[in-house]
Amino acid sequence: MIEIILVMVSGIVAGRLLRRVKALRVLPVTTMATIVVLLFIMGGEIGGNRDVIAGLSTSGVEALAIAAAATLGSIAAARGVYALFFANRNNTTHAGNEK
Amino acid sequence: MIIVGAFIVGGVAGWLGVLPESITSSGLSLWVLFVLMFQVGLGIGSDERLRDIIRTLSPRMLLVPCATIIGTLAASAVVSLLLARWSTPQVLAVGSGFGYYSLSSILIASVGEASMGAQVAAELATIALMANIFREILTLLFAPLMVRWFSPLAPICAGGATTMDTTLPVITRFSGKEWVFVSIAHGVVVDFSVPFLVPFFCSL
Repeated sequence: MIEIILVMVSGIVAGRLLRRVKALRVLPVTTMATIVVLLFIMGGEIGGNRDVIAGLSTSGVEALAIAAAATLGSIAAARGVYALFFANRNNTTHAGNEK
Repeated sequence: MIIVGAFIVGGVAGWLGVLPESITSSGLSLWVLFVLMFQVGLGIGSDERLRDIIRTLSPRMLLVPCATIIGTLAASAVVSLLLARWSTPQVLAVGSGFGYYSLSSILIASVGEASMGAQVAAELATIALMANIFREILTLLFAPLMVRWFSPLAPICAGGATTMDTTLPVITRFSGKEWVFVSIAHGVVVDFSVPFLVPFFCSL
């Protein structure tokens, strides 16, 4: 766990130092390629696992339940934060104009 | 959709048994994950907007990603009571992907293997992939209704980690242009929380 964070933080530091290097412009493409490779490997691991494949319909329903709950929970919290901290001030000191 | 396509092609190849064992052994995917995380870091660090985004971060604006994280985790904890197969921390690990389906599923598959075993981790990673894709789709589809019923902040909180890229156009369209910086800053903060929260809940 800590290794993953350290790798990301070292990436942020390197990115900050190298931000003017033009080669970094290919980063979205290489990141996408790495994600594709990883998801392919993951798909391979999961596809080769008969038990996971057998339970795919159940997993889909569970995934939908979690997605719906997570979305509803976050928009309910959004409404609360908006009503308490943004609604009254929105017309005068708009968040986007604070910069 | 290329990502989902890669997952499906890999899944079919794995199902047919045509992949060599060296590819599907967990050692390789962990190293590729490190390469990915370094690139994610490079992307954040080299972003020219980083200074602007940090400058716009006021305590009030930080409440928005806090609302997303707290709302998501609270609702995930509640729904975990209905899902008998999974423990509350496991459902929280899925929920704390915040729509970042590629990274959250990869993290669960890699980090979760040690704590819950390869079989359970693979199954939970599949759920994480689907749940976080569904979250992004729900945000894209229901953004107008979210704005009408819950406030302009609702699609931003619903979009989770995706509000600095894939759901940003929809948020700009329905919440308004004045929310663009809030949306990007929110995306960065929530994005940053994923590699902390997902492994944390996997380890519980």
